[in-house]
Amino acid sequence: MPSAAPAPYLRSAAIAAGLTAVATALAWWMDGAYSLTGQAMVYLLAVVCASFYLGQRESLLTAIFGVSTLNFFFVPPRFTFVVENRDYVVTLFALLVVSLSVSGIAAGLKAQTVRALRRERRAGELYELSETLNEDAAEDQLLQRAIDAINAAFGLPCSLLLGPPAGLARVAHAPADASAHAYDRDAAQFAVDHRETLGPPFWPHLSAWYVPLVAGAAPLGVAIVDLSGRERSVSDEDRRHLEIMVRQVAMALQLARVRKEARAAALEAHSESVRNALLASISHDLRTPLSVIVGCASTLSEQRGRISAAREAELLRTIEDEAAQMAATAENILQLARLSSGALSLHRDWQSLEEIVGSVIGRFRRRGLDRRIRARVPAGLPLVHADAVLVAQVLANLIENAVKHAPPDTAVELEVRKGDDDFVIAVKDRGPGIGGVNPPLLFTKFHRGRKESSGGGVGLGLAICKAIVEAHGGRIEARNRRAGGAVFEFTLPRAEPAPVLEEAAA
Amino acid sequence: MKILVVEDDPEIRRLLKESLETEGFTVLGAVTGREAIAIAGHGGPELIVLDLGLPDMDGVEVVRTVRTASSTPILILSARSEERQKIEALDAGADDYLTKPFGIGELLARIRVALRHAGSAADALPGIYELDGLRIDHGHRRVQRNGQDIHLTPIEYKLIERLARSPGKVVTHRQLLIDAWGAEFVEHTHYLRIYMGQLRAKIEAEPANPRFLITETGVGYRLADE
Repeated sequence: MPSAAPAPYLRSAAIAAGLTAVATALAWWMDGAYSLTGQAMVYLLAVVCASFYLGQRESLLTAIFGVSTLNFFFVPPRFTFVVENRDYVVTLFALLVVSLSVSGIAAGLKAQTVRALRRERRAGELYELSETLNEDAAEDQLLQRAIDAINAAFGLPCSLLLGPPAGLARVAHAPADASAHAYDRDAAQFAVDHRETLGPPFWPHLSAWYVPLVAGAAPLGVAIVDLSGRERSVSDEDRRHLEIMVRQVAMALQLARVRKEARAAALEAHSESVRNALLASISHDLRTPLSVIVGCASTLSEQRGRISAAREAELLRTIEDEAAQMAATAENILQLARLSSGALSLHRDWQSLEEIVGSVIGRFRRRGLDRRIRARVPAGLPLVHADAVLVAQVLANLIENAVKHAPPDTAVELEVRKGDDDFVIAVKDRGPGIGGVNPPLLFTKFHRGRKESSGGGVGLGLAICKAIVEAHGGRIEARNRRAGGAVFEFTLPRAEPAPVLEEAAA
Repeated sequence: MKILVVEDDPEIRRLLKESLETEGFTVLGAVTGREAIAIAGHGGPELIVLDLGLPDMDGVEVVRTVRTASSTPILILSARSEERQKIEALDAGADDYLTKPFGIGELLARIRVALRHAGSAADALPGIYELDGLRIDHGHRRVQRNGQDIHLTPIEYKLIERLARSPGKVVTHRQLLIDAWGAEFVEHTHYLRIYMGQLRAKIEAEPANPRFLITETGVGYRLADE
C-alpha cells in the first residue's frame, strides 16, 4: 500500500518531534542546575510516555530524536553533534539502548493486551453464535442469524451461499439493509469443491475470503466475507476465527437439517398409521350396516310370502335404519375429508347453541328417538362463534353414540352450560360407560369401545368430534358417571365480544 | 298433475318416477339442465324436482333460468357437499330442498307444501295459521298460544309473519333479514339468531327442542306445518 504509507509516518514523526521539543524545553530549563544525566532522564521519560500512550513507531522516533537532540543541545561541545568526553558517549549510548528497550517492551505488552482483548471478544462471539444457532429455528432464520453474527464480528459485508448439488445460490447476506456485495463465482465454487479457504494473502487477487461450510461428508455451501472496503490487511488470526465461526454454522445447519428430516419421517410414519386405522374404521363402519341391509333385503326377496306382514315391516324398518346409519358414516367421511384437506376453513359465524341443539334433536325425530333426548339449554345464552354444521355434527355423533350404547328405556341427557371463558356441552347416558379405556384413546386411535358392538360409526365419529372441537380451539373428553353410564363433554371457547344488537328491540 | 323430475342418476330417477306415479302424479323425466329448461318452458309441469348435481350445468343456473319465465315451484335435491349451491338455489328462487338421502315420505310432504303455496303468490297472506295451540292471525296481527295472547316486538312479529306466509317451507337467512330489517342487513345473521332465540322463548314449550320454529342449520328456518 505505497500511496497510503507517507501520511501515518509523517504524523508519527510530527508527534515524536513535538514530544522531543517538550523534553528539550524542560531540559533547557534544568540546564546548569542539573547534570547531563538528569537531562537525559527527561528524554527517557518522553520515550516512556510515547511507548505507553502512543504507538511503537512514535516511541522509536522519540528515542532517536531525543538522543540526537540531547547530543546537539546539551552534550559538550554544545550545538554540535561532536562528543568530546567518553563518559558522554556512554550516557548517550545507554540512553539509546534503554529507550529502544522500553519502547520494545511497552509495544509488546500493548500488543499482548490487544490480543488478549481480541481473543476474549472472539470467544464471546463464538459463544453467542453457538447460542443463536442452538435455538430451534427454520433454516432461513438460522442462516440469517449466522450471517448477522459474522457481520458483527468482522464489520464487513458477508454472504452465505448454499448449493450443492444444484449449484450455489446466495441465501443470506449482511448487513441486511444494504444490497449484497459482489463475489467471484468460480472462487466460491472452488472453495466448496476443494473444501479450502480462499482469499488473501495466499490468493492476493481475490478481494474476499471464501470459507466452505463443511459438516460431515458433503460440503453444504460457502461463506464469503468481502474485504474490498477494508483499509489494512487482515490477519491470519481473523481468518482462523472466521473459519471456526463458519464451521459452527455448518454444524448447526447440518443438525437443523437432520432434525427436520427426523420430524418429517416421524410425521410420515404417524400419518401412515392414522390412514391405515382410518381406512379400517371406515370399512368397518360401512360394512356393518351394509351386511344388515343385504341380509334383510335377501330375506325379503327369498322368503316373500312365507314371512308374516309384521316381520316384513320390521325388516324394511331395519333396512331404513341401517341405510341412515350408512348415510351418517358417509357424512363423517365427508367432514373428515374436509378437515384433513390441509387448509381447514371453518365457516364460523355467530351461532346459537340452542338452535344447533334443536336442529340436532330434530334429526333424531324421524327415528322416533327425540323423545329419549333430554336437552337442557339455559335461556339467554350468548352466541358462539363457530361452524354450526360441524358443531351439529359433533353433537349428532355423541348423541348417536349414547343412543346406541344406552338401554332403550333410558334418557340421553344433553346439557349446555356457560363456563368462565367457554361453553361446556355434555352428553350423558346410562349405558355401560367407557369401561377401563384410557379416555384419550377413544378419540385418537379410531378406537372401538367394545369389540362385540354391532353399531358402526363409533370409532370414526369420535375421531371426527375431536378434530372438529380442536379446530374450534376447544377440548373434548370422556369419563364414566358415578352411577353408571358415560359422559362425553366438549368445550367451545367464548369469543369476546359476542355481538349485540345495535338497536333496541324496535 | 304433472311433476318434472330432473335427475341424472337413472336408478334414482326411476325410483322417484315410480313413487310419484303411485301417488297419482304424472311424471316427466329430464337428465340434463338444458332438457329441464326446455320441458319447463313447454311441458308446463306444476312442480319441478331438481337435482343440483347435473352433468351439463349448475343447478342454480337452471333455477335462475326457469324463474325468469315462470313461478313453478322448484324442489331442490342436494348432496351434503352442495351446501353452498343449495343456499344459492334457494336465494335464486327455489322453493325448498331435501338433502340426500331422504325418504319418500319427506319428499311427498315437501311436494304437498310446495303445491299448497304454488297457487297463492308468495306475498299473499293466508288468513290464519293454527297448529298445536299456536295461532297466528294475520288480519289482527295477533299471536296466541293455547288461547293466551303472546306479546311480540314488531321485528319478532315480522319474522314469524314471514315464516307463517308459507308454513312448512324453508325461508333462508337472507330472505328473513331482507324482509325484517332491509337489504343492507343481509350479512347480520346474528340479529336473526338473537331474535329467533327470543321468539322460541316466547312460543316454544321446550326451546331446545322446538315444535314450531324449525332450524335448518346453515340455511334458514321454517315454521312447522304438521
